[in-house]
Amino acid sequence: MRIEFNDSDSQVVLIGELTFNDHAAFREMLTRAMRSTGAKIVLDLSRLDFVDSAGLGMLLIARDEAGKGSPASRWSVRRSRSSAFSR
Amino acid sequence: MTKFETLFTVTRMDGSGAGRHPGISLWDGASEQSLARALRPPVVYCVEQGLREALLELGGLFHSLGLAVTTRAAFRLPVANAFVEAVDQRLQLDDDLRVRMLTVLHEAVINAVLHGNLGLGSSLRDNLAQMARLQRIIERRLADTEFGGRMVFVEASWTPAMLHLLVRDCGEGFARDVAFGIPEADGRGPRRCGRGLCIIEQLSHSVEYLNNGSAIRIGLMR
Repeated sequence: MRIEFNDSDSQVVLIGELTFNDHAAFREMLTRAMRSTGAKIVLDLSRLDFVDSAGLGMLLIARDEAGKGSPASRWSVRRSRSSAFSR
Repeated sequence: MTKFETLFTVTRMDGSGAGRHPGISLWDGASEQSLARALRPPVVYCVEQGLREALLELGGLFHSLGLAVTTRAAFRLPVANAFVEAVDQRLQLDDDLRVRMLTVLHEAVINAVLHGNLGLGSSLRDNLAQMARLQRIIERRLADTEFGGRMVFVEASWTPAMLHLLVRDCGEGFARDVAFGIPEADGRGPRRCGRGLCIIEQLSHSVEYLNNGSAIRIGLMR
């Protein structure tokens, strides 16, 4: 998986495949994005081709981590155009 | 020369000379590309170098495609992708079957690696702090010969109507109903355990848990 941040780190684009092997990179991405000062953090999944069960779990962790910071989630998610299990 | 080579005279995939048995290959464990070469037809059984216990898996020769790799290789390299491509070279899979096969095989191999051979529980993936701890444990166990050198065995066999996949690890197994029955801590939201098994069962025609759960046999309609 490839990860692209915008200048303020508040918009993150995930590219390619999100699988268990990406858990270290995903954790680092999450930590960096949570440090950004924007009111919202956009997680753009539209360029993901494949998400496995571990990838789904990581997205749930992202949701939970966002909920810890404030009553209203800072995350906004742009969904993939393809189904979670298709390449 | 290893005992394996003495018995079967294998085809080496590093260019050092082909043996008399083109159906068996030794993989050097180095890369996805070398694995793809080692799985090319007419190979029916590919073994990562050093896996002596893989000798026990030879029963299904010539009716299927088999692959025996270390846990280390199965974690670091996209073994499922290479294996599906190898089956595709033999059967010319349609897109739907290829996607289903790749998805279920990927989930089964990850389960075999993490829960089977590395002995890790699902609770280590519950939150951000646990993910960091999980990463350290995985790296430590992969570097340990006892864990990292354990075998993951993958086999595909087929008929005109069905494609069967078998994935086996060297772990203690698990109870399917227990894995599916673990509730969320807060009682709400999507499940966090057994999600991979759920995907496998949804996309497959049949699923059998064998050897106390240390092996899974998946049937896909062609």
